[in-house]
Amino acid sequence: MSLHRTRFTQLKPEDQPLDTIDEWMRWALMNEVAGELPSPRVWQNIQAKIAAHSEATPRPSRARGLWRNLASLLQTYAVGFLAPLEVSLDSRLAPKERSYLLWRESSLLCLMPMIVDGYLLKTAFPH
Amino acid sequence: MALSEDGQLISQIRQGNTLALKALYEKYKVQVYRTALAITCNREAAEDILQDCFLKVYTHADKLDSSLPLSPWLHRVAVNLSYNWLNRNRRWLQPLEEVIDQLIMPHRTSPEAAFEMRELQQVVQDAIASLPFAHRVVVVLFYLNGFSLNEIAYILDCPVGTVKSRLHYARQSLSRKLERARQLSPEIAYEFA
Repeated sequence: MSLHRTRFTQLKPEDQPLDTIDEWMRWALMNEVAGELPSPRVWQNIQAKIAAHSEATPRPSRARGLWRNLASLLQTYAVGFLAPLEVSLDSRLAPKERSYLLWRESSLLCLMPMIVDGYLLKTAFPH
Repeated sequence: MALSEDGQLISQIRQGNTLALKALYEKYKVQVYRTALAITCNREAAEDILQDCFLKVYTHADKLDSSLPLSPWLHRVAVNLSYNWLNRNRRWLQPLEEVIDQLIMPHRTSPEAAFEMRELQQVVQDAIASLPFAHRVVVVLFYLNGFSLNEIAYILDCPVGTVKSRLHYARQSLSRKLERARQLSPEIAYEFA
C-alpha cells in the first residue's frame, strides 16, 4: 500500500520519499526514540541491587552445604539411636510404659532411611 | 564449538563477574531501552525495564543458553516487563479523538515546515501508540529493531503465522487511522492509493 503525499513531499526526512506505510512506521518509530539514552543511574541501580542480593543471600559453596547436611544427618541418627537406649535404661518407667515407648522410638528409627533419602535427594537436587 | 562474545560474557557472569555484566549492558542498553520506550512511551518505565532486564541476566545466568544470541532473549524479557508495566498503568492508549484534536488544533497556528514535520511524525507515532499491545509490540520489534519474523516469534513465544497476521492487521489499522486523520484534517494532505 502506497502512501502518497502532496504537501509533505518537501518535508520528507533526509530528502528521501516515504512511499509506503512501512517506511512511515519505521521513520516515525526511529524518530520517536532517536537520541534517547538511559541515564547512568540505571547501571548504578543494577550494581546496588546486585550487591544487596549478594549480601542477602550468600551462596554457600556446594561442598559446605553437603557437610552441613551430613552433620545434621549424623545428629539425627545419634538422637534416633539414643532415644530407645535411654528409654530402656530408665528404671522409673513402668514395664508397660517402657515397652510402648520402645515401640514408638523403634518405629521412628525405622523411618530413618526415609529421612536419609530425603536429605540426600535435597542435597543432590537443591531445586 | 567456540562461544560467541555474548556466550563468553555469560560464562563470566555465572562466576559472579559484574564487569562482564557491565560489558553486556553497554552493548545492549540503548537497544533494550529504546524498545521499552517505544512500547511504553514512558522514560522512567523504560529505565526500570532496562534495569530489571539486566538484573535477570545476572540472576538467571545459569539458565541462559550461551550458544544462542542474547538479543532476542533480552527483548523477550523487555517485552514481558513492558506488558506487566502497561497492565499496571493502563493509560498508554490514547483515544483516536485525542490524536485528531492534537492534530487539528496547533496546525493552524504553525505554518513552519519543521513544526509540520514534527506534527506529522506525531500523528504516525500516536497512531502506532493507539494499536493494541500485541500489534504494537510486533510493529516495534519489526520496524524499530529490525528483527526477523522468526526472531519476533521467539520473543513473543508464538507461531510465525501469528506474527505475520499481527503485522498485517497493524498495517491495516494504521492505514485506516491515518486515512481518518487525513479526512478530519484537510491540511494534512496525504492519501493512500
